[in-house]
Amino acid sequence: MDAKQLETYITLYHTTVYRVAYSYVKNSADAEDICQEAFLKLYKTSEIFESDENCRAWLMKVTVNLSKNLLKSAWITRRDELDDSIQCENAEDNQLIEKVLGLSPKYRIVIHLYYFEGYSVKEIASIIGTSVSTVTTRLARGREQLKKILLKEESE
Amino acid sequence: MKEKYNELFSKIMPKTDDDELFDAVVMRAEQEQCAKKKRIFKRVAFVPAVALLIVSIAAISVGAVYGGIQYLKTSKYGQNEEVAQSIQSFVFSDSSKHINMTVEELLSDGQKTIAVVHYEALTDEGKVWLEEREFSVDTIVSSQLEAYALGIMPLDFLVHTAFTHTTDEISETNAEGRYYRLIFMQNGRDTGKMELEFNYGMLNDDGESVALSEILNVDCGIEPLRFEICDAENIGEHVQPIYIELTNLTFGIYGVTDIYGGDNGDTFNVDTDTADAVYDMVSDKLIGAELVMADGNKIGFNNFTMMYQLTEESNSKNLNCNVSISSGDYGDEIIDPDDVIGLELGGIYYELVPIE
Repeated sequence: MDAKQLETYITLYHTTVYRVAYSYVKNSADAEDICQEAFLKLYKTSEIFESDENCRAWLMKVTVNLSKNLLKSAWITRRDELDDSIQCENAEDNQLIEKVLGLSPKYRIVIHLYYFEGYSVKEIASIIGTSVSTVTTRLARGREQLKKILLKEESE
Repeated sequence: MKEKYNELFSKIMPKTDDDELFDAVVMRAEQEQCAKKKRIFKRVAFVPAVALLIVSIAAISVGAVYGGIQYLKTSKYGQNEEVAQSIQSFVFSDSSKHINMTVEELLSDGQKTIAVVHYEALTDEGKVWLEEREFSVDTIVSSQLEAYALGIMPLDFLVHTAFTHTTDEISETNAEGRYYRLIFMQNGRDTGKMELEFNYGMLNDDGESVALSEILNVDCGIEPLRFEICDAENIGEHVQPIYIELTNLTFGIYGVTDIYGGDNGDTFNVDTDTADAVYDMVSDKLIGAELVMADGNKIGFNNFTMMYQLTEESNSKNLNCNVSISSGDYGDEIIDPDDVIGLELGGIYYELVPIE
């Protein structure tokens, strides 16, 4: 891929990749690292994308796997996720985001891809490398947990 | 709910702007600095002779060490079960008309987990598929998710604070079937139940390769034996091991306090240089360590993971941290901790004395 294409894709998908990574790793420093790593892989890939959407899906897969690998391979010491997760100016929003990110990662990622990125269950299964039935189960459980969190938040 | 979620996440934005990211990526590519950022742990693979782990004790004055540690005390945490009773058999199986895949055994002590996986070809097409597979045991990082990854990852532990794991492969291949042994290790023990996500490749009925996963429930039923290291002075200038743990699968030294003074005036970046600094300091004290068995045999350790945790006192001149060496394992062996009578470090024998 040439630099011009890379620039285009960074403009298109930088924020998307960041949010997917963030939803998985829960801190901005690692999410930034994953962004850089993902786009570096994109820059180096010999793959030819038929459309922007194909590139986006490719980036999603790489981002999910980079996030998984980071979580499984590092002993994260003294990383204050809460401090680092301050993303919004509104403190209440931050608190709510923290609660939502308290979901198990396996639920977080499918919910994020389903809700925010708008992927279908089948597409999510392809992205995270699992079966449709597994995604369906995780989505159902994740939504149930998310619902409880949001309802509890509203009642408070 | 969807609207609320999307509203929240629309507020999450990267701190780096597009131009900065572009420059960083191009620069890294140009410099061919594509290696992953160093992690804050070091895993030392098998290094024959010198290999074997253990903390701190030797390279320093052996005399001082010997004077420092007088004996090890042991206490049993719970009932140490028979290993055989802890092995879960035929945990999971998946079949197509071409291939049968079975997780035949699972054994875990809450720190290390071993899964034995057997692929069996049922048809000629299955044999071809099986013979041609180059199973990757790590989670793959590529667009080729249809590749044939074998791996396990600790779902439950993702929400915990301290873990790491690796997966190794031992295979015996023939035309009919292939065996794999997957090993997952985490830093820090968590007995009880845990979930592992087992990723595997399959040849489906239509003859297509597919990547699948399954959640495996693991019973970490093996309780560790703990041996306190008594009357230990600081080992050398910086390190003080507190206790060790043994199970049938793993070994670890914990509670090692390490203080590093930047006496030579060097400064370092606490975030990026700490791992190397701590590792360099500890590794030159690492020596071969061996468990001494009742029958006189000695068992060394194949590998270990070093972890550290910075304390508030750390700065660019001084490191102050807790260090532990853990997850040393016995290679292919599963031992009975009750058969261990002592520990040998740097040629010095420490008897394992039960706590009264």
